[in-house]
Amino acid sequence: MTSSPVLADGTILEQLIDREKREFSLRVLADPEIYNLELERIWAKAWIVVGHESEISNAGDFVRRRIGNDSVIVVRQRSGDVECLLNVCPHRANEICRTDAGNAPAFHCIYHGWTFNRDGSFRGAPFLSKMFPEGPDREAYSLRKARVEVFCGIIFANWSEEAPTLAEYLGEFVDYLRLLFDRTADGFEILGPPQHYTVPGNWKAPSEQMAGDGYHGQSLHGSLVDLGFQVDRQQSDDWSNSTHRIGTPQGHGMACMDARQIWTAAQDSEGDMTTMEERLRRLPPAGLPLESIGAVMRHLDEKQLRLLTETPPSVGLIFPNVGLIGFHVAMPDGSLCSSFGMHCFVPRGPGKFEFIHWNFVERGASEEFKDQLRRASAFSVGAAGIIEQDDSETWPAMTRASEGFIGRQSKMRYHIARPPRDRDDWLAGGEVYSGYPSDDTQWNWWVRYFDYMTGRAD
Amino acid sequence: MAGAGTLVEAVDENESAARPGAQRVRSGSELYWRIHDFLIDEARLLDDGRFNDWFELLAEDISYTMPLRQTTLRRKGTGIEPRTPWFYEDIESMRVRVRRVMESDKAYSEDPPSRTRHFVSNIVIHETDRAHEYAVSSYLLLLRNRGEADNYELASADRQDILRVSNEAITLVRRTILIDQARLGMQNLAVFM
Repeated sequence: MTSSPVLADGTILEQLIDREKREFSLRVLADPEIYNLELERIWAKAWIVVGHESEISNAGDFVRRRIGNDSVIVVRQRSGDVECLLNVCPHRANEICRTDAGNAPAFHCIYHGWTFNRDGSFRGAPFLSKMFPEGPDREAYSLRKARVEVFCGIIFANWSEEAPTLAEYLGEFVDYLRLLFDRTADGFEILGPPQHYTVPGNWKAPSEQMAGDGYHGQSLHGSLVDLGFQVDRQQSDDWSNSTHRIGTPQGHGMACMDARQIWTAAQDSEGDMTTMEERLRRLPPAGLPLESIGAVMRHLDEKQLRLLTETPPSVGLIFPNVGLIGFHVAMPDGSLCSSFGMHCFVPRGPGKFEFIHWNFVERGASEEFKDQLRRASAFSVGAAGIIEQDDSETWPAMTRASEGFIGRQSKMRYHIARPPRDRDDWLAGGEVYSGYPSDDTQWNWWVRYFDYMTGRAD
Repeated sequence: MAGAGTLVEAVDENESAARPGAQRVRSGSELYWRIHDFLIDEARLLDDGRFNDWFELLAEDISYTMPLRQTTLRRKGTGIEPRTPWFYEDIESMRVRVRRVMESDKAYSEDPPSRTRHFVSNIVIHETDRAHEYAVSSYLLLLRNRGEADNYELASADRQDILRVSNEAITLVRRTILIDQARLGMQNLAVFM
């Protein structure tokens, strides 16, 4: 059902986007009224990532997370299932879980002492029979639960009963998620709990960037070229022709890079000449130790192996706010390591978001390998990473720009359009845009955003 | 031994740099004041943007780490989480970080630079098993002001250092930064602690 909201000044939200010209009004970025609509139309309707199963391996393990502005408890059940519970006492609204992580037999509200089972159901309260001689209304006094689905160990939650299944929500994007997160039978795990840091910008700025803005690398991350950590290859035709961006109608986006570019970075020109397995052995995919290559060969099919060795996914985004990273990193000693992990950009108001960053590793890796990954990640991504520390210079500035009366009349422009590739000419799903630069998958994110905001998405 | 194998080992071993029962170097002694002055001078180099000079204070075998902090119940301990680093650096990665700021005009996260003020206090010094190395803990209050902001980004931390002291010089062999925030209140960690 289409129902474009009308803002207080009479503006119809849909009028802020020009779908033909591929641009929209900067007002959308951080308008408080639009932000409040997002809470209802995106955060309460889309599938939102709240963690990974390996954070809560045992029954009773929990982590505290947010869906939009709402605090939730993500907790492992005795059955092995995961529940996502609103972290608000149904009695007088106190926060029930007050720690970032832990293990609990039950949840206990400190205000009046009400307790709840791990599945959120009401367990008891002091003076229960005196308060409720007829018995308590157990349904009303239980914690509100979100729907939960898990894909490759990544936990998604959704408040909407009407929302499609996670499989429908992810669509053909799973082809690429599997190349990052389903490479061996054992899968991957977290390297530790996530970094949380606060950026004074709107959550959409980093989200749309990770949905396809490869173009910024040559400028914003120019220091890496100055330092000799990155070849100034983005200016070359060779680079342009070897960059592929995949977008799906659900708003997800992934960048896949011709593996020859990575081999060039590894300064190993023989990369082209070898078999798929030899390639994998000489430069294992991000976050995966050499010892696991056999497991990769057994787990993936021919098409997947070709994608992984010819055009591996490197940076992407699950709509609305989950950044994905799986790329190789030049280390100070000249060796090549990798960063493998996930970001969530969690709104904390129109002009502030929490940047959450997890490091991942393929299961079964040695402690030594895990340690190399920790070092490479701290060096390159997250708050102190020499790549990502520059990104948080732009998101606040864009957000401030949208606060000006004149500034917010500016446009965000996505004019660089490429024709999608012929579907028969690619090994997996989605629309594939080959060539650099291209705004296509980023624009795709915004189209999906407007679809959600105006009631076109279901 | 300073070179603990992994981050987890380094932090476990070093959450307090001083061994139980270690001899304390009392304030008023010449050694105490030498180390005190080292930390004060170090802060001045950082705040003046003299990162090349600051880099000279680092030992070749430096371990510079900052583990995550989580909010946990009191009985669960300090919430320091060694499995996830904010910083996990050796001399080579520190060299790159310093070169990035000093040699590239595209290190945008700190250009224009922040105005920082490293306030160092509560310095406590203990002897270690090594004759010329001292376990030094200090409190850090970092104020960071940037661009048009009329306020400060703040960070406070307990720094657990190992300093190597010779007649000629003092060098920083190990720094473990135990940050107080479970949610870092900064848009990035483009500054040294």
